[in-house]
Amino acid sequence: MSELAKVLSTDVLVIGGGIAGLCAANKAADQGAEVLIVEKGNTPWTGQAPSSGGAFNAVPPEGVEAQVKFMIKEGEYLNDQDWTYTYTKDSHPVIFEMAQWGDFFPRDISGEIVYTPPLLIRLYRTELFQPTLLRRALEKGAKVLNRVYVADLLKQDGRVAGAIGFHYRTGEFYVIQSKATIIACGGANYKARTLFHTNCGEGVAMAYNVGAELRNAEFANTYMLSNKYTCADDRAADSVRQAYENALGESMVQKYPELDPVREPGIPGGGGLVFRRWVRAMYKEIDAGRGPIYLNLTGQPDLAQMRYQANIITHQNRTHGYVRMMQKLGIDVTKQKVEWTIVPEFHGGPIRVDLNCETTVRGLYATGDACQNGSAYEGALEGCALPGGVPLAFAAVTGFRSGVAAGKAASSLPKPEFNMADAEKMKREIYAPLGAKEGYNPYDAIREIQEIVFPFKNSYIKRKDRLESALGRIEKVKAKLPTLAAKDSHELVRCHEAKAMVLNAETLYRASLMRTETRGTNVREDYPDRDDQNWLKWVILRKEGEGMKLWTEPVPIEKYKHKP
Amino acid sequence: MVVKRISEDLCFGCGLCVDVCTEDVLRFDEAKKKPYVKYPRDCVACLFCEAGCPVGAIEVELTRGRKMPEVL
Repeated sequence: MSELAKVLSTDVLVIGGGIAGLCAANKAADQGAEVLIVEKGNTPWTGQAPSSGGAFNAVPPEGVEAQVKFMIKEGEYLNDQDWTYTYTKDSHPVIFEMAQWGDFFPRDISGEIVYTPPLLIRLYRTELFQPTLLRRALEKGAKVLNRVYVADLLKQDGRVAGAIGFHYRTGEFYVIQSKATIIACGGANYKARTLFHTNCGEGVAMAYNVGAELRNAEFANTYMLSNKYTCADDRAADSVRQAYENALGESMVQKYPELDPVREPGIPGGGGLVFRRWVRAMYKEIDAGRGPIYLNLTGQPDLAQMRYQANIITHQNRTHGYVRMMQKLGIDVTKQKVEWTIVPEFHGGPIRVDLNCETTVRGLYATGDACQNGSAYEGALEGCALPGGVPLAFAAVTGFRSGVAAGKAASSLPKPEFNMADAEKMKREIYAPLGAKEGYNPYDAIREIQEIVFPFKNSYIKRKDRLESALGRIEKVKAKLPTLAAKDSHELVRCHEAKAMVLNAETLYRASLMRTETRGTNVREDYPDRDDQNWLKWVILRKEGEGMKLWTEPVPIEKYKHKP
Repeated sequence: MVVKRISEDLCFGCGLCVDVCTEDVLRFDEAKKKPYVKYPRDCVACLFCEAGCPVGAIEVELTRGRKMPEVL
């Protein structure tokens, strides 16, 4: 075996090198644990944060109660309220501890970190952020393995005891033994966007395959608004909301008063809250035949200037800043209208975790987007839902928690020894597409999955017949997966990405079918009302044999502080 | 193809573009000491290579290597 594979051993294995993974690696190393980060791309230039809006939600103690109350109201009481409190209370100390590691948050002349009102701290040097987290982890002794694709987890005596994978470029086989394993590789994005493209739900699939429970999978759908040309997002759209109009020239904010956000005092604006409203309003207009929607800044140089200004301040280091995009396209927004549309994003990961970020399988932890939905901290919403700056702060908070818990657990455990014959058998399965001369092309598979998952009427505005049809089509793709064929290790990655996407789509549709009500982002045309009588429940999923078992679990609302 | 151009004249072979490419579109030709586009259809136009190139040798088009399915 040892000639056939690189066999590595570590205390804590971190799968994924974005914010969540880097935070976890730092905190596990702080506990004295040996840490190995394995990343399919190249950390620190990976994950979703390099293309995010760069806002962190940091809530000082006096603001906690108001934000929690707001998050639970917006999450429509499907929150795990212990998690909502834990996240909100942790956000401030975690972000201030991170701020000591490097110079990437703005400070005033006396050296105090500057808040963007009311509770946001913005990266002002995005390009320094992840490299700084990585450098500190390396200084603390963590090791990094880039371009290695983790394909599956290994289990021994009921515990996760490591992972197996292969090198993206050389195809070399890797066996990594670990005492504790942290999944930090995001939710399933189905390669939907120019920005958020690396995560294909592999972490969710891996956790599911070793028997971990998934929760709130029906809310894993996010759609965003974007200009038509680039399908890149534009988080500062809010600043020029008056300038959006439908094909008839009618103002969107006049038609939909909810788009003119009345800010809750003390709650950060922006974020998914605003975008969810925009997405629904734009869909209504386009569906009624009054599309497309335009951003019309023609003859409004002042507004355009404001738009650009907002972009220059908040997005200066982002490759997808609107200014840069429009310049590249040669579009002068003061001279021509720009068409806008709805694009899929898909952030949330449904891996269920406790307050230490441990999954329901011993030795396995999840952090960041991978457990956005599964932690239920934000209730019935998608991964990018609530107030501005929450997803990045959540990645940091869960990164810290999982790193501390996994690092501590690892110190008291013996070195795992798993059966190498099992690893050998799994290797044959993982590499199977490479041996196939002809078969199902992984690019065709991904395309077919996208055709099923992208349509707004399949994955956002739901109805029983459409969900069943989408699920049926996903099952057809699933049936073809054993015949996947790859020319090289690069294409082998695509094969495994396709498998993970199929699993994630299946969880989305099965859980959505089960929840016969409209709550949060589970919008059911056939069940348009919220049903607190029957549905203050979580839908839980788990692998049983070769099938997917679903059941409901009541939200323990009686023991929670906030009730509907 | 969305990585439209890698200027032979400007490029001095530092390999940063290959490093930042998360989708493994770019590879490094060890003989020529220059990057090249190996998997064009995987490019998602994230622009990291273009933004990261210290001498501005790369130009990326704002289209994707694969056309995306309809949403609405």
